[in-house]
Amino acid sequence: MKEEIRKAIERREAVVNRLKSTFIDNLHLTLEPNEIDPDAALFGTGLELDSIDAVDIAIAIQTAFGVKLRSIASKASLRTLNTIADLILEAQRHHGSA
Amino acid sequence: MALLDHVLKRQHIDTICIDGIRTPAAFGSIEQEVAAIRGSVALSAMTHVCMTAVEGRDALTFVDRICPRFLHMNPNRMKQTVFIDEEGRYVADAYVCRSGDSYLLLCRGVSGDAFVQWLSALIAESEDVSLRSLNETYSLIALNGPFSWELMADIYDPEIIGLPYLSFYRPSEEVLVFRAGETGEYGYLVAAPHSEAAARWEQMLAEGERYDLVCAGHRAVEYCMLENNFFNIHKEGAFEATPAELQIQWRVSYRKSFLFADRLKAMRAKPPKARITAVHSAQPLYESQHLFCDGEEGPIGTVVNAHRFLSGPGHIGLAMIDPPYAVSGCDFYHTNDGSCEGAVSTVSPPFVNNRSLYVDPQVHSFCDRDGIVFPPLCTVPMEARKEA
Repeated sequence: MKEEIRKAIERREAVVNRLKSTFIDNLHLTLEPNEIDPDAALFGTGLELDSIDAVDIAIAIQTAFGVKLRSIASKASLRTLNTIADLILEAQRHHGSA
Repeated sequence: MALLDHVLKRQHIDTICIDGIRTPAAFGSIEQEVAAIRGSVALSAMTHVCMTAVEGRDALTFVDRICPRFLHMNPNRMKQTVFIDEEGRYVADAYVCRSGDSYLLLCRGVSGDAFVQWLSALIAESEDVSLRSLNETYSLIALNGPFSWELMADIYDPEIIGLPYLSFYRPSEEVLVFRAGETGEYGYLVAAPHSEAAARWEQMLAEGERYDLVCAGHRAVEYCMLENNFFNIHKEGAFEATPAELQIQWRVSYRKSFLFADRLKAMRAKPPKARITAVHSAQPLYESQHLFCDGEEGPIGTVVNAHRFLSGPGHIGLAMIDPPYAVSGCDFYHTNDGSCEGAVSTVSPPFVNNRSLYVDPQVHSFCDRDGIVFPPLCTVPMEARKEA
Protein backbone atom coordinates (compact mmCIF):
# COMPACT_ATOMS: atom_id res chain seq x y z
CA MET A 1 0.00 0.00 0.00
CA LYS A 2 1.29 3.45 -0.92
CA GLU A 3 2.42 5.63 1.97
CA GLU A 4 -0.06 8.43 1.15
CA ILE A 5 -2.97 5.97 1.16
CA ARG A 6 -1.81 4.22 4.31
CA LYS A 7 -1.55 7.54 6.19
CA ALA A 8 -5.01 8.70 5.08
CA ILE A 9 -6.59 5.39 6.10
CA GLU A 10 -4.80 5.36 9.46
CA ARG A 11 -5.89 8.93 10.19
CA ARG A 12 -9.51 8.05 9.54
CA GLU A 13 -9.39 4.74 11.43
CA ALA A 14 -7.93 6.53 14.46
CA VAL A 15 -10.88 8.94 14.55
CA VAL A 16 -13.48 6.19 14.03
CA ASN A 17 -11.91 3.98 16.71
CA ARG A 18 -11.81 6.86 19.17
CA LEU A 19 -15.43 7.63 18.38
CA LYS A 20 -16.37 4.03 19.14
CA SER A 21 -14.68 4.25 22.55
CA THR A 22 -16.34 7.61 23.20
CA PHE A 23 -19.77 6.15 22.41
CA ILE A 24 -19.25 3.02 24.49
CA ASP A 25 -17.95 4.97 27.50
CA ASN A 26 -20.41 7.87 27.43
CA LEU A 27 -23.55 5.99 26.47
CA HIS A 28 -22.65 2.89 28.50
CA LEU A 29 -23.18 0.61 25.52
CA THR A 30 -22.76 -3.12 26.19
CA LEU A 31 -20.98 -3.62 22.88
CA GLU A 32 -17.41 -4.27 21.86
CA PRO A 33 -15.88 -1.72 19.46
CA ASN A 34 -15.83 -4.17 16.55
CA GLU A 35 -19.59 -4.74 16.96
CA ILE A 36 -20.30 -1.12 16.01
CA ASP A 37 -20.40 -0.74 12.24
CA PRO A 38 -19.15 2.66 11.07
CA ASP A 39 -22.01 3.09 8.57
CA ALA A 40 -24.81 1.82 10.86
CA ALA A 41 -27.49 4.36 11.74
CA LEU A 42 -27.20 5.91 15.20
CA PHE A 43 -30.86 6.91 15.62
CA GLY A 44 -34.10 5.09 14.87
CA THR A 45 -32.54 1.82 13.77
CA GLY A 46 -28.92 0.73 14.24
CA LEU A 47 -27.73 1.75 17.71
CA GLU A 48 -31.29 3.02 18.46
CA LEU A 49 -30.09 6.13 20.28
CA ASP A 50 -32.53 8.86 21.34
CA SER A 51 -32.53 12.65 21.61
CA ILE A 52 -31.01 12.57 25.11
CA ASP A 53 -28.17 10.44 23.79
CA ALA A 54 -27.69 13.04 21.01
CA VAL A 55 -26.97 15.73 23.60
CA ASP A 56 -24.51 13.43 25.40
CA ILE A 57 -22.81 12.64 22.08
CA ALA A 58 -22.46 16.30 21.14
CA ILE A 59 -20.83 17.06 24.51
CA ALA A 60 -18.59 13.98 24.32
CA ILE A 61 -17.42 14.88 20.79
CA GLN A 62 -16.60 18.40 21.88
CA THR A 63 -14.63 17.08 24.86
CA ALA A 64 -12.77 14.37 22.95
CA PHE A 65 -12.10 16.17 19.67
CA GLY A 66 -12.68 19.87 20.39
CA VAL A 67 -15.35 19.99 17.67
CA LYS A 68 -18.58 21.83 18.34
CA LEU A 69 -21.69 20.72 16.43
CA ARG A 70 -23.76 23.49 14.91
CA SER A 71 -27.51 22.87 14.90
CA ILE A 72 -28.05 22.63 11.13
CA ALA A 73 -24.89 20.57 10.66
CA SER A 74 -25.64 18.28 13.56
CA LYS A 75 -28.67 16.62 11.96
CA ALA A 76 -26.68 15.85 8.84
CA SER A 77 -23.58 14.77 10.75
CA LEU A 78 -25.05 12.73 13.59
CA ARG A 79 -26.22 9.91 11.37
CA THR A 80 -23.41 7.36 11.59
CA LEU A 81 -19.92 7.14 13.07
CA ASN A 82 -18.52 7.83 9.60
CA THR A 83 -20.54 11.02 9.10
CA ILE A 84 -19.31 12.27 12.48
CA ALA A 85 -15.75 11.28 11.51
CA ASP A 86 -16.16 13.35 8.30
CA LEU A 87 -17.07 16.38 10.39
CA ILE A 88 -14.14 15.89 12.79
CA LEU A 89 -11.58 15.34 10.02
CA GLU A 90 -12.90 18.40 8.17
CA ALA A 91 -12.59 20.50 11.33
CA GLN A 92 -9.07 19.18 11.93
CA ARG A 93 -8.10 20.05 8.31
CA HIS A 94 -9.39 23.62 8.77
CA HIS A 95 -7.63 23.94 12.11
CA GLY A 96 -4.39 22.61 10.58
CA SER A 97 -4.52 25.01 7.65
CA ALA A 98 -5.51 28.03 9.76
CA MET B 1 -59.75 -8.09 -5.93
CA ALA B 2 -56.09 -8.21 -4.88
CA LEU B 3 -54.23 -4.90 -4.94
CA LEU B 4 -51.96 -5.70 -7.90
CA ASP B 5 -54.95 -6.66 -10.07
CA HIS B 6 -56.58 -3.35 -9.25
CA VAL B 7 -53.42 -1.35 -9.97
CA LEU B 8 -52.89 -3.14 -13.30
CA LYS B 9 -56.52 -2.70 -14.29
CA ARG B 10 -56.28 1.00 -13.54
CA GLN B 11 -53.05 1.71 -15.41
CA HIS B 12 -50.74 -0.21 -17.73
CA ILE B 13 -47.45 -0.52 -15.89
CA ASP B 14 -44.34 -2.69 -15.93
CA THR B 15 -44.17 -5.34 -13.24
CA ILE B 16 -41.20 -7.22 -11.85
CA CYS B 17 -40.99 -10.62 -10.19
CA ILE B 18 -39.50 -10.43 -6.68
CA ASP B 19 -39.14 -13.67 -4.74
CA GLY B 20 -41.65 -15.28 -7.11
CA ILE B 21 -44.26 -12.53 -6.64
CA ARG B 22 -45.17 -9.83 -9.14
CA THR B 23 -45.00 -6.23 -8.00
CA PRO B 24 -45.14 -2.88 -9.85
CA ALA B 25 -41.69 -2.02 -11.19
CA ALA B 26 -42.43 1.57 -12.22
CA PHE B 27 -45.42 3.81 -12.82
CA GLY B 28 -43.55 6.56 -14.67
CA SER B 29 -40.02 7.86 -14.73
CA ILE B 30 -37.79 6.86 -11.83
CA GLU B 31 -36.71 10.51 -11.50
CA GLN B 32 -40.29 11.60 -10.86
CA GLU B 33 -40.98 8.75 -8.43
CA VAL B 34 -37.78 9.35 -6.44
CA ALA B 35 -38.50 13.10 -6.37
CA ALA B 36 -41.87 12.33 -4.75
CA ILE B 37 -40.30 10.04 -2.15
CA ARG B 38 -37.72 12.75 -1.36
CA GLY B 39 -39.99 15.78 -1.57
CA SER B 40 -43.66 15.02 -1.08
CA VAL B 41 -45.47 11.64 -0.85
CA ALA B 42 -45.17 8.40 -2.84
CA LEU B 43 -47.65 5.53 -2.89
CA SER B 44 -46.43 1.97 -3.46
CA ALA B 45 -47.96 -1.50 -3.65
CA MET B 46 -45.76 -3.81 -1.56
CA THR B 47 -47.13 -7.07 -2.93
CA HIS B 48 -43.74 -8.78 -2.63
CA VAL B 49 -43.41 -8.30 1.14
CA CYS B 50 -44.50 -11.50 2.83
CA MET B 51 -46.70 -11.24 5.93
CA THR B 52 -46.82 -14.18 8.31
CA ALA B 53 -48.75 -14.43 11.57
CA VAL B 54 -47.18 -16.63 14.25
CA GLU B 55 -49.83 -17.60 16.78
CA GLY B 56 -50.46 -20.16 19.49
CA ARG B 57 -49.53 -20.67 23.13
CA ASP B 58 -45.78 -20.85 22.33
CA ALA B 59 -45.65 -18.17 19.60
CA LEU B 60 -43.49 -15.76 21.62
CA THR B 61 -40.96 -18.36 22.74
CA PHE B 62 -40.81 -19.91 19.26
CA VAL B 63 -39.97 -16.63 17.48
CA ASP B 64 -37.51 -15.74 20.23
CA ARG B 65 -35.86 -19.16 19.77
CA ILE B 66 -35.22 -18.65 16.04
CA CYS B 67 -34.55 -14.90 15.97
CA PRO B 68 -30.90 -13.72 16.06
CA ARG B 69 -31.85 -10.47 17.82
CA PHE B 70 -33.05 -9.90 21.39
CA LEU B 71 -36.79 -9.28 21.19
CA HIS B 72 -37.41 -7.36 24.40
CA MET B 73 -40.24 -5.10 23.27
CA ASN B 74 -43.69 -4.05 24.28
CA PRO B 75 -46.80 -5.02 22.32
CA ASN B 76 -47.34 -2.97 19.14
CA ARG B 77 -43.62 -2.42 18.69
CA MET B 78 -41.41 -3.89 15.98
CA LYS B 79 -37.72 -4.67 15.41
CA GLN B 80 -35.64 -5.27 12.33
CA THR B 81 -33.55 -8.40 12.03
CA VAL B 82 -32.34 -10.96 9.52
CA PHE B 83 -33.32 -14.60 9.85
CA ILE B 84 -30.42 -16.93 9.09
CA ASP B 85 -30.50 -20.66 8.43
CA GLU B 86 -28.28 -23.51 9.64
CA GLU B 87 -25.78 -22.74 6.83
CA GLY B 88 -25.53 -19.06 7.82
CA ARG B 89 -27.43 -17.88 4.73
CA TYR B 90 -29.87 -14.98 4.98
CA VAL B 91 -33.40 -16.36 4.75
CA ALA B 92 -35.26 -13.08 5.15
CA ASP B 93 -34.86 -9.41 5.95
CA ALA B 94 -37.57 -9.02 8.56
CA TYR B 95 -39.62 -6.75 10.76
CA VAL B 96 -40.67 -8.71 13.83
CA CYS B 97 -43.89 -7.10 15.09
CA ARG B 98 -45.22 -8.02 18.52
CA SER B 99 -49.00 -8.06 18.77
CA GLY B 100 -49.97 -9.17 22.27
CA ASP B 101 -49.15 -12.86 22.54
CA SER B 102 -48.45 -13.35 18.86
CA TYR B 103 -46.01 -12.06 16.28
CA LEU B 104 -46.46 -10.72 12.80
CA LEU B 105 -43.41 -11.08 10.56
CA LEU B 106 -43.02 -8.75 7.56
CA CYS B 107 -40.27 -10.19 5.36
CA ARG B 108 -38.42 -9.51 2.15
CA GLY B 109 -36.18 -11.96 0.33
CA VAL B 110 -38.52 -14.93 0.55
CA SER B 111 -41.99 -15.85 -0.69
CA GLY B 112 -44.79 -16.34 1.83
CA ASP B 113 -45.06 -20.05 1.08
CA ALA B 114 -41.30 -20.68 1.29
CA PHE B 115 -41.07 -18.75 4.55
CA VAL B 116 -43.96 -20.63 6.16
CA GLN B 117 -42.33 -23.88 5.03
CA TRP B 118 -38.99 -22.83 6.55
CA LEU B 119 -40.65 -21.79 9.82
CA SER B 120 -42.75 -24.97 10.00
CA ALA B 121 -39.66 -27.16 9.88
CA LEU B 122 -38.29 -25.34 12.96
CA ILE B 123 -41.33 -25.86 15.20
CA ALA B 124 -40.59 -28.43 17.89
CA GLU B 125 -43.13 -31.21 18.46
CA SER B 126 -43.82 -29.91 21.95
CA GLU B 127 -44.55 -26.34 20.77
CA ASP B 128 -48.07 -25.04 20.22
CA VAL B 129 -47.45 -22.73 17.25
CA SER B 130 -49.58 -22.04 14.21
CA LEU B 131 -48.47 -20.15 11.11
CA ARG B 132 -50.69 -18.17 8.80
CA SER B 133 -49.56 -16.51 5.58
CA LEU B 134 -51.51 -13.27 5.38
CA ASN B 135 -50.68 -12.55 1.74
CA GLU B 136 -53.66 -14.64 0.69
CA THR B 137 -56.02 -12.29 2.52
CA TYR B 138 -54.14 -9.00 3.01
CA SER B 139 -52.50 -6.40 0.77
CA LEU B 140 -49.72 -4.10 1.88
CA ILE B 141 -49.61 -0.45 0.76
CA ALA B 142 -46.71 1.92 1.49
CA LEU B 143 -46.64 5.68 1.81
CA ASN B 144 -43.20 7.28 1.88
CA GLY B 145 -42.13 10.89 1.87
CA PRO B 146 -41.45 13.87 4.13
CA PHE B 147 -45.19 14.71 4.16
CA SER B 148 -46.64 11.18 4.23
CA TRP B 149 -47.57 11.74 7.90
CA GLU B 150 -49.89 14.57 6.86
CA LEU B 151 -51.79 12.42 4.36
CA MET B 152 -52.00 9.58 6.90
CA ALA B 153 -53.40 12.02 9.47
CA ASP B 154 -56.05 13.16 6.96
CA ILE B 155 -57.08 9.60 6.15
CA TYR B 156 -56.90 7.94 9.55
CA ASP B 157 -56.43 10.06 12.63
CA PRO B 158 -54.38 13.18 13.53
CA GLU B 159 -52.98 11.14 16.43
CA ILE B 160 -51.05 9.07 13.85
CA ILE B 161 -48.49 11.87 13.79
CA GLY B 162 -47.36 10.72 17.24
CA LEU B 163 -46.97 7.06 16.23
CA PRO B 164 -43.32 6.24 17.08
CA TYR B 165 -40.96 4.85 14.47
CA LEU B 166 -41.10 1.03 14.44
CA SER B 167 -44.51 0.71 16.03
CA PHE B 168 -47.98 -0.10 14.73
CA TYR B 169 -51.62 0.28 15.58
CA ARG B 170 -55.05 -0.80 14.39
CA PRO B 171 -57.19 2.13 13.17
CA SER B 172 -60.03 -0.34 12.57
CA GLU B 173 -60.69 -4.03 13.16
CA GLU B 174 -59.32 -5.13 9.80
CA VAL B 175 -56.56 -2.60 9.11
CA LEU B 176 -53.03 -2.34 10.52
CA VAL B 177 -50.78 0.70 10.14
CA PHE B 178 -47.02 0.29 10.64
CA ARG B 179 -44.66 3.22 11.01
CA ALA B 180 -41.73 1.84 9.07
CA GLY B 181 -39.92 2.39 5.82
CA GLU B 182 -36.62 1.96 4.02
CA THR B 183 -36.31 5.25 2.18
CA GLY B 184 -35.05 7.43 5.03
CA GLU B 185 -38.23 9.52 4.86
CA TYR B 186 -41.38 9.25 6.96
CA GLY B 187 -42.81 5.88 6.01
CA TYR B 188 -46.00 3.95 6.68
CA LEU B 189 -47.19 0.49 5.71
CA VAL B 190 -50.92 -0.13 5.62
CA ALA B 191 -52.12 -3.75 5.70
CA ALA B 192 -55.73 -4.05 4.55
CA PRO B 193 -57.86 -7.02 3.47
CA HIS B 194 -57.83 -7.62 -0.29
CA SER B 195 -61.51 -6.67 -0.36
CA GLU B 196 -60.68 -3.18 0.98
CA ALA B 197 -57.25 -2.62 -0.58
CA ALA B 198 -58.47 -1.17 -3.88
CA ALA B 199 -60.67 1.35 -2.05
CA ARG B 200 -57.77 2.32 0.26
CA TRP B 201 -55.50 2.77 -2.77
CA GLU B 202 -58.04 5.00 -4.49
CA GLN B 203 -58.59 7.01 -1.31
CA MET B 204 -54.86 7.64 -0.98
CA LEU B 205 -54.60 8.65 -4.63
CA ALA B 206 -57.54 11.05 -4.33
CA GLU B 207 -56.59 12.62 -1.00
CA GLY B 208 -52.91 12.56 -1.94
CA GLU B 209 -53.47 14.91 -4.86
CA ARG B 210 -53.11 17.96 -2.64
CA TYR B 211 -49.70 16.60 -1.52
CA ASP B 212 -48.48 16.02 -5.11
CA LEU B 213 -48.64 12.28 -4.49
CA VAL B 214 -47.00 10.10 -7.12
CA CYS B 215 -47.17 6.30 -7.41
CA ALA B 216 -43.71 4.75 -7.00
CA GLY B 217 -42.68 1.29 -8.17
CA HIS B 218 -40.17 -1.17 -6.78
CA ARG B 219 -37.25 0.34 -8.72
CA ALA B 220 -37.69 3.79 -7.15
CA VAL B 221 -38.11 2.40 -3.62
CA GLU B 222 -35.09 0.12 -4.07
CA TYR B 223 -33.07 3.04 -5.41
CA CYS B 224 -33.97 5.11 -2.30
CA MET B 225 -32.86 2.20 -0.13
CA LEU B 226 -29.45 2.47 -1.82
CA GLU B 227 -29.31 6.25 -1.28
CA ASN B 228 -30.04 5.70 2.40
CA ASN B 229 -27.85 2.61 2.83
CA PHE B 230 -30.74 0.38 3.86
CA PHE B 231 -29.79 -3.29 3.63
CA ASN B 232 -31.08 -4.83 0.39
CA ILE B 233 -31.33 -8.61 0.67
CA HIS B 234 -31.66 -8.92 -3.11
CA LYS B 235 -28.42 -7.04 -3.82
CA GLU B 236 -25.72 -6.99 -1.15
CA GLY B 237 -27.65 -9.60 0.87
CA ALA B 238 -27.29 -12.09 -1.98
CA PHE B 239 -23.55 -12.30 -1.31
CA GLU B 240 -22.07 -14.83 1.05
CA ALA B 241 -21.05 -12.29 3.66
CA THR B 242 -21.19 -12.02 7.44
CA PRO B 243 -23.20 -9.35 9.32
CA ALA B 244 -19.90 -7.54 10.04
CA GLU B 245 -18.96 -7.55 6.36
CA LEU B 246 -22.41 -6.18 5.47
CA GLN B 247 -22.42 -3.71 8.39
CA ILE B 248 -25.69 -5.11 9.75
CA GLN B 249 -24.38 -6.36 13.10
CA TRP B 250 -27.05 -4.29 14.89
CA ARG B 251 -29.68 -6.64 13.46
CA VAL B 252 -28.23 -9.59 15.40
CA SER B 253 -26.77 -10.20 18.83
CA TYR B 254 -23.73 -12.41 19.35
CA ARG B 255 -24.73 -12.76 23.01
CA LYS B 256 -28.16 -14.20 22.34
CA SER B 257 -28.77 -17.91 22.57
CA PHE B 258 -30.97 -18.87 19.62
CA LEU B 259 -31.34 -21.83 17.29
CA PHE B 260 -28.44 -20.97 14.97
CA ALA B 261 -26.31 -19.02 17.48
CA ASP B 262 -23.32 -21.33 16.85
CA ARG B 263 -23.49 -20.55 13.14
CA LEU B 264 -23.62 -16.82 13.84
CA LYS B 265 -20.63 -17.09 16.21
CA ALA B 266 -18.71 -19.05 13.55
CA MET B 267 -19.47 -16.26 11.04
CA ARG B 268 -18.17 -13.72 13.52
CA ALA B 269 -14.98 -15.71 14.16
CA LYS B 270 -14.03 -15.68 10.47
CA PRO B 271 -11.65 -12.84 9.58
CA PRO B 272 -13.60 -10.42 7.36
CA LYS B 273 -12.84 -10.88 3.66
CA ALA B 274 -14.37 -7.54 2.74
CA ARG B 275 -16.58 -4.79 4.09
CA ILE B 276 -19.44 -3.07 2.34
CA THR B 277 -18.52 0.53 1.59
CA ALA B 278 -20.37 3.35 -0.15
CA VAL B 279 -18.75 4.67 -3.32
CA HIS B 280 -19.25 7.61 -5.67
CA SER B 281 -17.84 8.21 -9.14
CA ALA B 282 -18.27 10.63 -12.02
CA GLN B 283 -18.16 7.59 -14.32
CA PRO B 284 -20.84 4.87 -14.46
CA LEU B 285 -20.71 2.20 -11.78
CA TYR B 286 -22.31 -1.20 -12.28
CA GLU B 287 -22.69 -4.46 -10.39
CA SER B 288 -19.74 -6.90 -10.61
CA GLN B 289 -17.40 -4.08 -11.65
CA HIS B 290 -13.96 -4.33 -10.03
CA LEU B 291 -12.27 -1.51 -8.14
CA PHE B 292 -8.53 -0.98 -8.18
CA CYS B 293 -5.95 0.97 -6.22
CA ASP B 294 -2.64 2.13 -7.63
CA GLY B 295 0.20 0.00 -6.32
CA GLU B 296 -1.99 -3.12 -5.99
CA GLU B 297 -1.83 -5.82 -8.65
CA GLY B 298 -5.36 -7.19 -8.41
CA PRO B 299 -8.74 -5.64 -7.65
CA ILE B 300 -9.39 -4.37 -4.12
CA GLY B 301 -13.18 -4.64 -4.34
CA THR B 302 -16.32 -5.34 -6.35
CA VAL B 303 -19.41 -3.17 -6.82
CA VAL B 304 -22.53 -5.02 -5.59
CA ASN B 305 -25.23 -2.36 -5.98
CA ALA B 306 -25.09 0.76 -8.16
CA HIS B 307 -27.18 3.39 -9.91
CA ARG B 308 -26.90 6.76 -11.55
CA PHE B 309 -27.17 9.31 -8.75
CA LEU B 310 -30.59 10.96 -9.00
CA SER B 311 -30.14 13.38 -6.09
CA GLY B 312 -26.75 14.68 -7.15
CA PRO B 313 -24.08 14.38 -9.81
CA GLY B 314 -22.37 11.17 -10.94
CA HIS B 315 -23.06 7.61 -9.88
CA ILE B 316 -23.41 5.94 -6.49
CA GLY B 317 -22.99 2.39 -5.29
CA LEU B 318 -22.03 -0.06 -2.61
CA ALA B 319 -18.90 -2.15 -3.01
CA MET B 320 -17.46 -5.08 -1.11
CA ILE B 321 -13.92 -3.79 -0.52
CA ASP B 322 -10.92 -5.58 0.99
CA PRO B 323 -10.57 -4.71 4.70
CA PRO B 324 -7.50 -2.46 4.62
CA TYR B 325 -9.13 -0.31 1.91
CA ALA B 326 -12.76 -0.40 3.10
CA VAL B 327 -12.62 3.04 4.67
CA SER B 328 -14.80 6.05 3.98
CA GLY B 329 -13.23 9.27 2.69
CA CYS B 330 -10.63 7.75 0.33
CA ASP B 331 -10.11 9.28 -3.13
CA PHE B 332 -7.49 6.80 -4.31
CA TYR B 333 -9.50 4.12 -6.09
CA HIS B 334 -10.63 3.66 -9.66
CA THR B 335 -12.46 1.42 -12.06
CA ASN B 336 -10.63 0.10 -15.08
CA ASP B 337 -12.72 -1.10 -17.97
CA GLY B 338 -10.22 -1.33 -20.76
CA SER B 339 -10.07 2.10 -22.32
CA CYS B 340 -12.14 3.81 -19.64
CA GLU B 341 -10.75 4.49 -16.17
CA GLY B 342 -12.86 6.37 -13.65
CA ALA B 343 -11.86 7.75 -10.27
CA VAL B 344 -13.88 6.32 -7.37
CA SER B 345 -14.24 7.86 -3.91
CA THR B 346 -15.41 6.03 -0.83
CA VAL B 347 -17.98 8.15 1.02
CA SER B 348 -20.07 8.08 4.20
CA PRO B 349 -23.68 7.11 3.53
CA PRO B 350 -26.47 8.10 3.47
CA PHE B 351 -26.01 9.87 0.14
CA VAL B 352 -28.84 12.31 0.92
CA ASN B 353 -29.88 14.73 3.65
CA ASN B 354 -33.40 13.36 4.10
CA ARG B 355 -36.03 16.10 4.12
CA SER B 356 -37.90 14.22 6.84
CA LEU B 357 -35.11 15.11 9.28
CA TYR B 358 -36.07 18.76 8.88
CA VAL B 359 -39.85 18.46 8.61
CA ASP B 360 -41.49 18.69 12.03
CA PRO B 361 -45.12 17.49 11.97
CA GLN B 362 -45.83 19.69 15.02
CA VAL B 363 -44.75 22.81 13.14
CA HIS B 364 -44.74 22.26 9.39
CA SER B 365 -47.21 21.42 6.68
CA PHE B 366 -46.92 20.55 2.99
CA CYS B 367 -48.57 23.82 2.01
CA ASP B 368 -45.88 25.76 3.91
CA ARG B 369 -42.99 23.65 2.62
CA ASP B 370 -41.29 26.54 0.80
CA GLY B 371 -40.61 28.15 4.17
CA ILE B 372 -38.69 25.18 5.57
CA VAL B 373 -34.91 25.57 5.62
CA PHE B 374 -33.28 22.48 4.12
CA PRO B 375 -29.57 21.81 3.62
CA PRO B 376 -28.47 20.61 0.15
CA LEU B 377 -30.04 17.23 -0.67
CA CYS B 378 -26.76 15.63 -1.76
CA THR B 379 -24.26 14.68 0.99
CA VAL B 380 -21.39 13.61 -1.29
CA PRO B 381 -18.42 15.86 -0.46
CA MET B 382 -17.52 18.62 -2.89
CA GLU B 383 -14.11 17.04 -3.65
CA ALA B 384 -15.81 13.88 -4.88
CA ARG B 385 -18.51 15.83 -6.72
CA LYS B 386 -16.33 18.25 -8.64
CA GLU B 387 -15.31 15.69 -11.28
CA ALA B 388 -18.88 14.61 -11.90
